[in-house]
Amino acid sequence: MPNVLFDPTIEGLARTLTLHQQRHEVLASNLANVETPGYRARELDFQDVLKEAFDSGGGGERAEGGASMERASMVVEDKTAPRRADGNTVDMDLQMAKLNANGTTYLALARILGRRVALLRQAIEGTR
Amino acid sequence: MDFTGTLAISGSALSAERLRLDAIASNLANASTTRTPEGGPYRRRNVVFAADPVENDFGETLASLTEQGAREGVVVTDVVEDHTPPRMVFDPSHPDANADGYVAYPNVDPMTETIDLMAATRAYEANVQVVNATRRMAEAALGIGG
Repeated sequence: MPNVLFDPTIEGLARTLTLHQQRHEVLASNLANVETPGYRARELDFQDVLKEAFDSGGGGERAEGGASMERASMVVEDKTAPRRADGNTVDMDLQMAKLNANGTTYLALARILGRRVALLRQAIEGTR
Repeated sequence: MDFTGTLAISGSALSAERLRLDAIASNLANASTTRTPEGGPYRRRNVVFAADPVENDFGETLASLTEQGAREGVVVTDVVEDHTPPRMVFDPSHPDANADGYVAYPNVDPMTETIDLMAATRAYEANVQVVNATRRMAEAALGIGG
């Protein structure tokens, strides 16, 4: 019988939420420094790690997958952004778009996670 | 879940941009001030922004992974005076006119100030949007399982 309380979906969703929250913080930092001379835009690139973790499936390797996810969730300099005269590479429109997309995904994930937990509660309480 | 750090970052930006707005307001208000306590005309003021690392566990972890700290707020390190020469206007009747009849007016260009004002306002608005997005995310996180 599968372990319902330690559902891989719930664990995976929770980790993904954390990654999105950390990326939100990095993007917020970029937008805070939109007028700081010499500031380089940063990006938290976790898509590949996430894909890898989900492709490997929710088997017994979960704990290991989680660890590699944290190790690889590294902040990198956003090299695609052109540099302004003051050495700053923050593109306000691009960063706002990223921030909104990331935030929307976070809201969606939180909702799915909420449903999942509600389902669990329903199973515990039984139908009425 | 730690949204307080994000709010601290956005908050630092809001406060820095507001200080910049103060400097711009002061420049525009004193665009024709010919007398200051230091003597001479008013000098245009400018703020200096610098990235300011926000301290917490996550920040330290990321800082160890990258060369620079990952999450940085912004801080106004200095308010400097613009030392470009004052604007000389011929007006012999003015009490502050020099021997040749020229009055030294502040080196404030209303056009530059207005553009700076717009840039500061936009940056402020962007950071308010970030605060709103952070709030929505925190609310969603609190609503899980509720």
